[in-house]
Amino acid sequence: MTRYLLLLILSVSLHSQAEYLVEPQQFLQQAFPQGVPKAQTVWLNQALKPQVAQIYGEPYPALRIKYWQAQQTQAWILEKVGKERPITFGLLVHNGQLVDSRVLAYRETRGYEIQRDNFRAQFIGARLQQQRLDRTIDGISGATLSVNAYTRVAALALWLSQYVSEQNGQ
Amino acid sequence: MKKALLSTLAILASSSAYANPQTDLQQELEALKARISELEQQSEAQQQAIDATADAVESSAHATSPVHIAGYGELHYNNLSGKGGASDKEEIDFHRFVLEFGYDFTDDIRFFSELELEHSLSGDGKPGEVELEQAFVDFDINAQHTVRGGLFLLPVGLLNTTHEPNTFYGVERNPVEKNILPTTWWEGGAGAYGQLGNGFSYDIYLHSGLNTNAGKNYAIRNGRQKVAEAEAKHWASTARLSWNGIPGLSLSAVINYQDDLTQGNDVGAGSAVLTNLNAVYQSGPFALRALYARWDLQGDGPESVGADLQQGWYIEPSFKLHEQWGLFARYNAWDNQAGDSSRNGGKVQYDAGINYWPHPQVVVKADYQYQDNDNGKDQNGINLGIGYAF
Repeated sequence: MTRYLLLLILSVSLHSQAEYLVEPQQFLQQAFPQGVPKAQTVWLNQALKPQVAQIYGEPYPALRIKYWQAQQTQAWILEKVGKERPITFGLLVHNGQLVDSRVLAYRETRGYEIQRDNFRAQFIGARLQQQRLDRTIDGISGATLSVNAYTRVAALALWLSQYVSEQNGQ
Repeated sequence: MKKALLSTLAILASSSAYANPQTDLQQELEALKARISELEQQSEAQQQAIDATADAVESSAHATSPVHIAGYGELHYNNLSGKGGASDKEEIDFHRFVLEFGYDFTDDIRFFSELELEHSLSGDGKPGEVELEQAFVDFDINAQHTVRGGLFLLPVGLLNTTHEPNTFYGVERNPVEKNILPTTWWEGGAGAYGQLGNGFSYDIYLHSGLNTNAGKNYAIRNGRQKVAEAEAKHWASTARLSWNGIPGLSLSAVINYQDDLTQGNDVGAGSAVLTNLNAVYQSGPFALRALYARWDLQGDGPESVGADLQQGWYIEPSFKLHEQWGLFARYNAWDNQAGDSSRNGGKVQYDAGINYWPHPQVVVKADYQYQDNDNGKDQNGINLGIGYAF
């Protein structure tokens, strides 16, 4: 027992994890190896708020959403609470299709399995269909809320991408 | 000569007439450029001010607050007919009202708690209890491993750590996890959890133990001390290995060991081992959950009442008709005195029902239960419920 507690104390004293699994800047540099474009902003005005809330499942907890665009590729960094803490996602959309998505920061006490490659792979190639993903995402036992958050955020990235493309006349 | 001189003067005059407007234009262009640059700088400064304001406003929003509040609850109505000596049950009960509070001391050190009021009303002679089911601190070692200390739910079964009503089928929690594991089961102690790669993850804890006795037929559920001035002469340990290597499939194996299940109070009792296997598979609208659990108790005492083996299992197929509607059926079998078949301790319950989610975090449930117990005492009928989690 004493040995176990000493091990615990030693482990805690050695802890040094940063908040992010993948730093947002690192995600952007990998998304845009030719150079990270300047951040652009979608302000969630009165017209956008209800549309975003419908896809997101609740009002988005920010005034604006930043994105980075080079040609037809857009990177979005979005957050959603799974159960009680926000999960930060990095999502890459190319021509209306999700080409990559990652969990940049996971803060929940359950459901960390959504970070795994084989789970994330289900989202690759997803498109928007009637404001939802065009596919069923197989869940993870014990991670229902985190899976829901991932699915909602993926749909929101696709919808926002479509929105800014229309605004820019693309 | 005179003509040539006049021509030269005329050229000079004309070039002089052109030179002044060009200089002015150039100056105006330079001024405009400077003005544009100045405006750009002002615009950039304003944008930065707007971003800073938005950052400040957003930082006070709940998503980035170190304080976290969540909760869940469920109201149940049971209308059951007893037969073979079992009692009827027609009752409405706000079974669980739960508030969860968390606080992030830093990004790596986080507190989480769950306070529950069971059956609406607690106090002397009242049906309910106020229970502290979770109160622990997590310390992240790195991105893969976390140390936990405090009072926490043990990683056993499928419902013990994830039991918000919108996450499972059936109004009542299944009887196998309730009577064999026993859900909801929490203890105080410390340990760690994390990921091992290739879809594997682990949980390992040293924690306070159960305290059952002969008067309770060594039933596991009755041994929960709930970390309430609990006897701690004999600790226990729990380890779980899980695999989520394929999307939709989750497998886990659990082992729990305690060197004396009666905290040394019963010389006829000894050590106990829980073995538990869990499987969940989901593919599109179809899902299947299955669980097997058994306790092996040493000692003449448990053996004398058939409690040396306590085991159960269930299998639960389900089908989502629609995002908001799901059907399920479940077969449950368990026996807390399986070591002696002559005691008729075997219990069987069939459940079938429907869940309706008007919102992913709100659920309305209805099911029918039919029991076929060895002792002939059965309760059959309908259960209705409404639950939420936020």
